[in-house]
Amino acid sequence: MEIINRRSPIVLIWLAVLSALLLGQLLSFQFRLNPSITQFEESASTRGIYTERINPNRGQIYDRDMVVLAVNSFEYRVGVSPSLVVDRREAATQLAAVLNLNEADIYRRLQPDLNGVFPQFVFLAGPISDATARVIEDLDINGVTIEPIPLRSYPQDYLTAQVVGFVNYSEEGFFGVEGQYDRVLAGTAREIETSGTIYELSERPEASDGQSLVLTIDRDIQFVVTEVLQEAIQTYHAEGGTIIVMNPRTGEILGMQSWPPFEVEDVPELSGKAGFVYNPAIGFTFEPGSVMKVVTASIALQVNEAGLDLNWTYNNTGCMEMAGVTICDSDRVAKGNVDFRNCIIKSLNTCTATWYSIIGPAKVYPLLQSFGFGKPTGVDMEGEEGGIVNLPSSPRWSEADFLNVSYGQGISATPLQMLNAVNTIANDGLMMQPHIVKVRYDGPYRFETQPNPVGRPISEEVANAITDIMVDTVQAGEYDERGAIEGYTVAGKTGTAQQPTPGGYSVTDSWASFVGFLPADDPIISAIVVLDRPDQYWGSLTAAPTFNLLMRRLVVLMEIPPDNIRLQLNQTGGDPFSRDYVR
Amino acid sequence: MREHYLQLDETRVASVRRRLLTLDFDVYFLLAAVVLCAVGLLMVYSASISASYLATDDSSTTYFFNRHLRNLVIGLIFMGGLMAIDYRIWRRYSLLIMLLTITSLLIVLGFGQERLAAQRSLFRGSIQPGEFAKLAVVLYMAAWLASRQKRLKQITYGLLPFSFLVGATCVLIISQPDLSTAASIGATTLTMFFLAGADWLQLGAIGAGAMGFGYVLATQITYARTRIDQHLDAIRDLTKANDHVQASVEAFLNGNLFGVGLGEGTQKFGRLPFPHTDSIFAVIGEELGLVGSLGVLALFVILVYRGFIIARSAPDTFGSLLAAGVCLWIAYDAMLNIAVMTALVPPTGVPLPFISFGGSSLVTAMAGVGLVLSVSRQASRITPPNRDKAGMILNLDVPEDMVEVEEDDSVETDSVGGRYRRGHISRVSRRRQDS
Repeated sequence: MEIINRRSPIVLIWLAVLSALLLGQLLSFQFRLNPSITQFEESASTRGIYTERINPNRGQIYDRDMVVLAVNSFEYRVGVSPSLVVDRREAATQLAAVLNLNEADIYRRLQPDLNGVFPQFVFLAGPISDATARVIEDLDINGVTIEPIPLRSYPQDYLTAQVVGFVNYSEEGFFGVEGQYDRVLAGTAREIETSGTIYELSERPEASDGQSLVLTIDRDIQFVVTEVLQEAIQTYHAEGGTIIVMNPRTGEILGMQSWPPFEVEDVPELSGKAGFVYNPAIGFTFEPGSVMKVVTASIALQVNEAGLDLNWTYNNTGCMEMAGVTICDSDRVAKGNVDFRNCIIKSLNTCTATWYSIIGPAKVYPLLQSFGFGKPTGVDMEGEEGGIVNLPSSPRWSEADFLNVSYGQGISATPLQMLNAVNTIANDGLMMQPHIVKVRYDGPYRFETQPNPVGRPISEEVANAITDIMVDTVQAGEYDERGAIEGYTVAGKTGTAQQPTPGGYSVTDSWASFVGFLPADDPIISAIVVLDRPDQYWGSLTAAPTFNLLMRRLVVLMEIPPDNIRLQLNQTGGDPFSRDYVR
Repeated sequence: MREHYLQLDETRVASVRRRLLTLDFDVYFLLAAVVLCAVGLLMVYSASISASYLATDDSSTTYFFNRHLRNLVIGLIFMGGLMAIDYRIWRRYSLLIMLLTITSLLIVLGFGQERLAAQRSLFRGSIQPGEFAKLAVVLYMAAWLASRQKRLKQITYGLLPFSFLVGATCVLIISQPDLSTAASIGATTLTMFFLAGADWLQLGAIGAGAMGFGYVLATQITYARTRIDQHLDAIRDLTKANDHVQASVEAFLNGNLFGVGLGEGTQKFGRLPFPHTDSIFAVIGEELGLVGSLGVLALFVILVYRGFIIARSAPDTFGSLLAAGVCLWIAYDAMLNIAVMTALVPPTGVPLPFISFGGSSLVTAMAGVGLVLSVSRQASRITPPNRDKAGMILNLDVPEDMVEVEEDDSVETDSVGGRYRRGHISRVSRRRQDS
């Protein structure tokens, strides 16, 4: 007892010294006695507060009948915080079984490192499906986190992949509508500064979600287009091809498909291949060939100079020397006196070349440009090309080239550009803006794309005259008779363009095309068919029958009545076009 | 009725009142402990809201508070019970208690729940034998040291067995691994050893040994070394300190002099790790400010100071060492916790006694308070407050069973455990000569 009494003051002093140390440290914080405190304070204001990003939901994409073309879903990724796992061996066993992974490997990754420090987070697997994620969630292992990854799904797969485009894992849109409307679809993320406190959770602002889009595309038409295209490819052993269906009155794209179709999953593999074009209908340029002659004829009538009108005639010799080169018709046979109309109907190269030599480049090129050649149409899809028109100012321009342009060689255009030019003729000379988004939904607000005229390259009279010639072109006995459809007046024109090869043009490979619309007197549907290297050289033998097959199915699907019924309805005041996508 | 009251026997009433109000133990000591517990209850509620929310799937903010309240009730029962029982009984069971503690430590090592990379608990984390070990070691050391007395200075009787006992226990706890509990036990027992009359030279040797051991720990055990390296960096520049330390310093800076107000702190929401257990002092610093944290510090000072007064007036060496040991253990734990929170010591998980959430810690600390109060009661029974100027006790009517018994050195053969034997009235004079 004595020694305790003697020594307890020493112990108390010892404790007092220790307490004084603590006291000093506490005071040093408040009275800034420690120099590093001030420094610490400067950085303290931002510490503990971090910026949290609230991601919006990407807008959905529908076809015109509200069939879902692009929708959001989730995949999941699984990770573990090893220090929180109670029984590592058991956890490894369970997770390995569900995730199909090596048990020993998982167990090893759950162990601390050489310093005894556990890794903060171990990524195990992902993306995994919703079902697997549920199983793991039910295991209820402490420390295991299941994190959702937003996933864009395209229920229509290859049917609409080319027009819709895709998003990557960072939810950035590429190509088609996804690419063009990326910012609209993505919405706006909200960034909030949060300290992670509980009571702030209820005040979280909502991100403004992306807008949803309704396309002018009709899934059923798209299906018919794809099926017809597939049949044509198989029948004519073509290497590729494109079909576009539009409403020439409004510029709406109803169907658009190119061969071969693909799914979004195939894109990484395909994009590695040389010459891959995501959507050839708008991104691939070709020399259109004779389909261009309807544009040439429109330009000739529009300029209307030097007696160049419907009564114009010339002496056809089969081949002609012009601008230092020989230009021949496809059959190279002299036909004597030929009038304006038959130049198109018989598809005479010498005739259109003669027209251009009469008009001259100064008047041709402005009109060609106002027909939309040489620049993108501005359709609302990413990945569009503009084609090439060599202007006289260009060093590559020559007069021979200029004459070639009259029958569609030496000029390149996308299928959409070509169809757009023909649509202008169908729509009485008024060019409409081609577009694919019909309606935009921004929350409760609905924005409908209005038909937008973008120019008038030719007058209504010229357009009607050309339409008449195009109707005659597909009459029985003519080259393009296979394009005609019984009961309907079709206006159309085929094209057979030589494919360029190194050092010239191929004599066996062609771009076979057909462009046309119906009914000719009141067009509501137009289409272009382009086939790449079909086994028969001529467009009239391949693209025209394909157009025929396509239109025969589309008039049924779209409930377009045959001419006699339609005219009858017109007389009784009824509306011949009942279905929405027609008007 | 009124008149009936007036007719009460005045002297009887005064006698009853005096008996009820005359507390036969150190009131200040109890008050300090009770106020600390009350502060703890308040602060656990404030600091555990976030943790409760997470633990109950966002359905309750009082989950940990309720459990703390339950622990407090259990603690009060232990405190009251131990206070009522004569502490000298425990001397007889100290060896048994120690053996049980060692067994439970071994069980923890073998089958315990691994939490936060360490095996420290039993029964799904609800019981931490490391906490109970602190009390058991204090109890056992008090008994053992009391049985040694003057022979402590002999190396074979004092230093060697002491080193072995404390060393073995600490090694068991370090293997969990729980460095902080081992340090707390080591410091407490060493100070008790000093109090009980250890040789200065031997203490110096122990100090050197401990430093050597610490050096080996710090250089050979990666777990300890990484912690120490991190700490040395942090001491140089607080902005480079680890997140835990930074968060608690931020809390003190937020709190300033008077605090942001009870429940108004923000550091407890995700920023401070374990806000309701290890980091509760930082929450106090933020919400109650410098004044609040100094207040808590003052309560501990009062508690320890009064505890030492009890130790000095204890009727026997065992009681004196027991009271001092409990106070030392609480003081060291509190200081270690506060030192961690104020960035003096590298982060280590040690609870703030009476205040931190944690059943084992709270119940053990309150049980310790009960033991000290029992010492205080026994002291007051044999040494009522009226002494003469020389400190001689005037009233000598000490009940027979209250008489201090000194171990008879010549009879004592058990080198490990002290033994309590019924005393004889004839020894009274000898005890008085001692003190």
